Amino acid sequence: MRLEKLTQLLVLLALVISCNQKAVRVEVDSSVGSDEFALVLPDWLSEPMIPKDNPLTKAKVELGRRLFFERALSKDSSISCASCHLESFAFSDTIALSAGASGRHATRNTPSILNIAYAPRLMAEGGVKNLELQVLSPLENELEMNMSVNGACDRLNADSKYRADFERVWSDSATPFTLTRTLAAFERTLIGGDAPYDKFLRGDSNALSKSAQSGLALFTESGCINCHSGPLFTNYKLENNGLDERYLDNGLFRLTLLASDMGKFKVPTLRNVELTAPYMHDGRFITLREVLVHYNSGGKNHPNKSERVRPLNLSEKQLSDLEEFLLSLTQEFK
Amino acid sequence: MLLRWTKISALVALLGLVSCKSTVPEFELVEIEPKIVLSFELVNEGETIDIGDAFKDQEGYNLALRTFKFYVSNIELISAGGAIENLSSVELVDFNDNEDGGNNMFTQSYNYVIPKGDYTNLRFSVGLPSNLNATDPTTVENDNPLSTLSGMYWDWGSMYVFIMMEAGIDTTGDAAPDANIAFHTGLDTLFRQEQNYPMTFEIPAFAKDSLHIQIDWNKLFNVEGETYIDLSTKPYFHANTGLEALDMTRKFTDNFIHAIRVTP
Repeated sequence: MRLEKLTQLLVLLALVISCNQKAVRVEVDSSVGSDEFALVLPDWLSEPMIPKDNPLTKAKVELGRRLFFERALSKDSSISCASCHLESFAFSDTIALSAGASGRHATRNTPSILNIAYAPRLMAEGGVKNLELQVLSPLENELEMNMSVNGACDRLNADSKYRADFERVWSDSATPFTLTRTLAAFERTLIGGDAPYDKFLRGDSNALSKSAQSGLALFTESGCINCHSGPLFTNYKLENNGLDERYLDNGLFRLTLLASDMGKFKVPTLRNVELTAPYMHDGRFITLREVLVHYNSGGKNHPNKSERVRPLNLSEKQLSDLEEFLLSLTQEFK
Repeated sequence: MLLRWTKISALVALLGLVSCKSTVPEFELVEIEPKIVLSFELVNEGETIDIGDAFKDQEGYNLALRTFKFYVSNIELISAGGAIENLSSVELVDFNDNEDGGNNMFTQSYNYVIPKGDYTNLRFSVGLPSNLNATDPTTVENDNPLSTLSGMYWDWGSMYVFIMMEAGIDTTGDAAPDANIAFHTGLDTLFRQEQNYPMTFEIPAFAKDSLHIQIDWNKLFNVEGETYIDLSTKPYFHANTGLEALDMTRKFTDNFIHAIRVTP
């Protein structure tokens, strides 16, 4: 109930923010004198891999930030990347299936792209190799931005300001190469910050409530940590978590056409999971509690279901503790 | 075999003129490079299909083709001595991208310079080998068949469609298309490697010759002894969307191979 109210509040907040078109904050290390863009990372994150052909520069990241908010990148100029990736929701949104251009709707729930620089594979079935190529997917998907990358470049090149900025950053116009690299560079700067959990790990015992501390222990004991591991609480593997007996969205099967891959989707990060509702690839679960109830039940029968998804027989109190722990993964958005 | 004697005649005439002069100017005799032209055409009962126009197929279906394009890769000519001449690593045959000034004629031609000699085999693959299928389309020039302009890239999976066919079909009997049919094949499993088309032909010096590659529309759906695809079911399949789609696009791919006929 508390979460539902919180969700409503956050939806309102999102509307306010989306009307405000405020700029995304990007942490910059001001000690770097050149145009090189230095990421400021929390101590629990290592340096992400930056492609050699797309180093981070201040000018490029700034241009990427503008493009992230640029509605002209959608066919009817109605939406931008930021329309579905709202900063206040850890760069996800609040509805099951986001609205695309021309009133259409995407077929999958918008994931958080905070810390996306660390993802070794992209998209729910993990078929896209890097952020640069991933830019093409929402851009050209007819249910999302519905804009050819070449058409987007034409629009940008018709704008003297963009033309000058691309020239300054790339010594070139907007092209499929420069556009995808610029947006990817900006996305790599979307790095998360400390949550109460991180402070707890550093020795602040008051950062987590007793309930959350119990939840942390349950998170390990009940095996959640097997898939939701590491500093970002994901192993990035593809798993069938027993959502359905028959899948409408085939997941990894779409890529491999192997029956053994039916219904497998990439394990999502749990950082800021409180803010990324609704949940699962299709946004079927509105609250975190529903997600926990699903895992507690052991999920539905499917030949590909992960062995790790099994009845947990957790009590209501234990589910509440787990939920409290998950809430402690929410960072403070300034 | 069509020899281009015009230019040779011009050279001979020039030599004749030069020889009449008292002083012989220096000039360079440039041998015209022999060329082979691969010409692709989609036909229905022997007639070239025009894009957008209604046509009736062998089974009596009224159809209107909207899109027909496909990749051919590793295009090679094999000489009588067994030497392999690589013509191209990849071409996108896109009948929509017509080259005859907008008449929507369903033909596409590609020119290649090759050594003169006797040849016995044309060989190419349909689709893209895995190394080309993994190309980043944003890293190649717009005139590259693998560029973002190809309209053949599956963004969601970072790979290419191999064959894209889209058409309208009349299912009500009034001859006007009222439903859509489509086949989008792709994925490494539907790559068809090294299709051989044996034939004997000679490419002399100063020559330009053509190989005519016809795709028989009717065989795309009905190859005797192979696979029948019932158009009345309004087949609409993208290879990646499920087991039935994979099965149907596999049938379409294999029929496509059988539908190709190459003649000198």
